[in-house]
Amino acid sequence: MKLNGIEVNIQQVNMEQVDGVFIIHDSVSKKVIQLNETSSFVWKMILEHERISDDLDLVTSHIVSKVLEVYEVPEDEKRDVFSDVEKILKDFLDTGLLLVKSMEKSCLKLEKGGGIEWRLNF
Amino acid sequence: MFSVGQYIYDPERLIFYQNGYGSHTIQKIHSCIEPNDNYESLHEKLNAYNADEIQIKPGALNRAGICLTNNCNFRCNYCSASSVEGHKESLTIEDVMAFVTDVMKRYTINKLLGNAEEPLSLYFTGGGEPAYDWDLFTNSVVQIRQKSSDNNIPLILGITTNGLLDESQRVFIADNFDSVMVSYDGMPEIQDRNRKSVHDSRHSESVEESIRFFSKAQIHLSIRTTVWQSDFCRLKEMADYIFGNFGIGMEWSILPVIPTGRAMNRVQKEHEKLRESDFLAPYLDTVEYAKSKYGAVNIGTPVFQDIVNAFYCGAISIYCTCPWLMPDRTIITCIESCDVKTVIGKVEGNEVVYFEKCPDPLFKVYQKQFDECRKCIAYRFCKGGCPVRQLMNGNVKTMMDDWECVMIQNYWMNIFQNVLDGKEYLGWRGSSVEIDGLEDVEVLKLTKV
Repeated sequence: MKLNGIEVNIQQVNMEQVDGVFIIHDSVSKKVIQLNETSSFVWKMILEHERISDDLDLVTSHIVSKVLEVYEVPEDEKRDVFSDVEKILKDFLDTGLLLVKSMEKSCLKLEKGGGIEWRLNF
Repeated sequence: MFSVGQYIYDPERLIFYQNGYGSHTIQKIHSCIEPNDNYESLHEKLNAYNADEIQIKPGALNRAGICLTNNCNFRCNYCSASSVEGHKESLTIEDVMAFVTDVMKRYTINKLLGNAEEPLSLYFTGGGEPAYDWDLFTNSVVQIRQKSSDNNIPLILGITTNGLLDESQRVFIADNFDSVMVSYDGMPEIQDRNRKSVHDSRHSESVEESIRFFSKAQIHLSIRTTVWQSDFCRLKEMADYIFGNFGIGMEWSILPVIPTGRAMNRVQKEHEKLRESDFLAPYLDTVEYAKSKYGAVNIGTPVFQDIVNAFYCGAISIYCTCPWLMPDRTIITCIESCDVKTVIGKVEGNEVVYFEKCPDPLFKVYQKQFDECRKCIAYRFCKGGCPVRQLMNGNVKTMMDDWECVMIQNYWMNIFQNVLDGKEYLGWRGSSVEIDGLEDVEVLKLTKV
């Protein structure tokens, strides 16, 4: 699938949801990751996007608009949502949940972020 | 090494050989049978931790417990928590559900790791009486059941209750719980003397009615009988009353009074007399008596750990596998620990927070006992015993301090003697070990049947 114009793969992981929050086990890195509510929402969007429209580009602004649709975000915090989503996507890449197919990773211009609640090594 | 009749017991190898073998023979036995106590590596594991600044952060979990309240409508004369009413601290439904949600996430980790073969097990106990605040109790149970169903998490619910319940309360528990333990002290006269109710003078009838109700319901029922030393001689009468009145379908768990909490009031006055009471013989007699009279009855006691242990129990905090949420919103490692608890986290603002580091008084004692008790005959089974017992009475010393230890030592000595007489006894036997070059030498290995 394409994310912000870049070909990415979703890592083969085992996952379950508790109260809509994803808990993910990456058997390769032997890590368990719990996403927070917002990053679970974004992760679900990515999974859905891959399932139904693999060849279309999923862009940050589209994710942001969906977040704003679903969550009641105060007016003065709306501008933060874009950077929050960028941080979440960066986390997905950093933790290996998303794998960049090409070498254009830097084009995502994502900053270090925090949508991950737990990281447990097993 | 310990002498047991004509034999020497070698605890490092869990073997017995005839007393009187020469040093060459003993050396040969030692060289052919490796020690299996793993003492050095276990010691190293324990001492890798600094008990003043320890990190106990549960990862994956299959079990957890909830103590809703410290309030209780009984004033049992041995209550280790010295429970009364009027405690202001109480959990809210939000606290309970925040804790349970976190536990369910940790259970899900186990599921993802392939370790969740059993359902998630949640237990309600005290502290106080779990059903004391009936609204909080029922709300908690209903919401927990709903959440487990919503998230497709298999769930087992258990409760320990004093049994002072009305009909609708019994129905609710039977409908929603998989197991119930009712505290009942063997017969009405002793129940009324030990377990006084504040509000209901006819409480033993009510408790008995609860037991009868649960014995007919589709729920695993245990009766917990706590016995004062002076009543050990009445265990057979209790067996007749319990199995005669409630049937044989339940489990009967017998716990001698341990000198902690409110029991200390009496122990301090009567310790000289109480310490003379032997629990082991009347307990074993009663088990035999009940089995011969009633058939396949299920009687046990939590005092004797009937396995070869690496460590005392799962509540040794570094291996905490069952965190407990307490009425003050703290999360602790052991429900028995009362005011000597090790606090590893808390529920705050509907979030569970586990501390990065915390002092662990229980672990500190355990580290010490693990080494100091090594020379005890029961060490391989008891491993230094319960650290809570060491701390609970503060500096109050009585002649009962070593009572439990002596009882456990006698239990194992009794098993060893029977095993060496060629019997299978309380689930143990001696299996012969052949050693090349020592054809005439008798070596027996203690083996769980």
